[in-house]
Amino acid sequence: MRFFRCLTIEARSVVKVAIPWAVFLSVFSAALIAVIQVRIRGLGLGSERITVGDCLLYLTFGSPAIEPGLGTVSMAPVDWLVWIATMLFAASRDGIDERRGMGSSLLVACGSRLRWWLVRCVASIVGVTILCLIVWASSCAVGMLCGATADLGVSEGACSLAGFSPDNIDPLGRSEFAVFMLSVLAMLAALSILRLALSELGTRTLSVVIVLAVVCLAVWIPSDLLPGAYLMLSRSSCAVMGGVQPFAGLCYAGIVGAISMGIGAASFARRDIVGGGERS
Amino acid sequence: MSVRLDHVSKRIRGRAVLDDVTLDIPSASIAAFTGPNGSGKTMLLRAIAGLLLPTEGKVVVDGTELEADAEFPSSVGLLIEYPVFLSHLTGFKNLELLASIKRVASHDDIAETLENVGLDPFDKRKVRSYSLGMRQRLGIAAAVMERPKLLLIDEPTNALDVQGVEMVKDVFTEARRSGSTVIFASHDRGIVSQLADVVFELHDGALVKEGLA
Repeated sequence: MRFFRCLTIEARSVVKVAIPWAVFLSVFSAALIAVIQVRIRGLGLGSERITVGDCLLYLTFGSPAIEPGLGTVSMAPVDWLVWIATMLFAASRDGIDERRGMGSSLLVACGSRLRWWLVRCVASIVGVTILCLIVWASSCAVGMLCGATADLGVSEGACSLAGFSPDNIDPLGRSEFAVFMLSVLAMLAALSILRLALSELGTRTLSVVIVLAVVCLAVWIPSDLLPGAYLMLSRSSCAVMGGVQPFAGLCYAGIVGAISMGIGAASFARRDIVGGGERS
Repeated sequence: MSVRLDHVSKRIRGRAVLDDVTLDIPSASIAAFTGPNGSGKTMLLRAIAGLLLPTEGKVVVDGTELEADAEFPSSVGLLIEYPVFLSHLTGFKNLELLASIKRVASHDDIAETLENVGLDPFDKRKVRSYSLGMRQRLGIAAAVMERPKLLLIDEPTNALDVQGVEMVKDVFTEARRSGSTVIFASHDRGIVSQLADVVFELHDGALVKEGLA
């Protein structure tokens, strides 16, 4: 029970710190959705009403993989990068600092270093999840204000505007899209644990930079081993033939999260809890 | 709760912050660590709390050796370095949060402790508006509210007025009377001589003198 009580305290602190970033991301995403809705209607793509699935599509679309030999340079998906970078940065704002004051007392009251490390990991997952849900919900709300239906399926018009291959324009089913969104959430959670573990070995700033760099590599390098590939609908088998499987993304996220948790636990168990300097 | 250190040394970035320290503190006593700034007093408190892992030697609290994977001492009250709290909450709320983990201290216990340290339990001000002296009192309250068997306090009279110093004496004396072991670090020789049953003097991380106050 002590674990859950400590988790409640740490999770509340993490969420409190992340809320302003959630507001920023919500406003950003809502503006993006509104602009795209206008474009879809303006271009007359698809006669059916736009869906909330279309709204979520644009948050998670990313960019298609570079096709070798065509001589084209892939444009960085700025909106996707802003969303991902802000999510990772916001989720990296740790709760209570166990190096000083009340934080040290909480750590000792928690009972053991392992227990406190697990608290931090789970609180980070909770923070990322809440952040995601707030942003997605606000995007859907804006979409519905612009006339979208409350349907998780993605329309042909939205696929077309997103640049899906004409041979593969099949509207995404609700369940396929739901699995994809779940895999995005799982991967973001796993990356937040990876960030925590890296910060045990270095500093928080360095850990955010490294994780962000690894994620962004997927924009230019089409590899199933890069976590970023599982965060982009444009690389998913839901949207393109031969794309990464969302279920594989769920498993990959589980592995990344578990390994990160283990490495971080081993490092935290031997760390001296002393004050001063940037928090790891 | 007895405390024993056996040849404890600690090196941080090549510098010896603790150097072959061996000491024994019996239960229900008040021990003081003295010495100049940087002598290792705070590091010693952290080692006893389990927050600092020795490079060599061992720390034994209540018969249990503190290791990397071990549990922290079960009944410990801490105030090490600065009294930092959640600034958006009141003093009472901060203590309530801390007390919610082990659920040993009730609301009445928290209120009584705050009164004992000279703070108003019904004060609606957030901690961010507290003076340093008030935060120090709150820190002491946080450390003693659960009546821990081991009390570790760093510079207890820091930023306190005359009444505050008297409060510290009362709190420590009462803790010892209840069977707790109190260990505090201070460079204030006056308070050390008035309170401590045994004094350990440190210099450059090493124990240079041990004796009765």
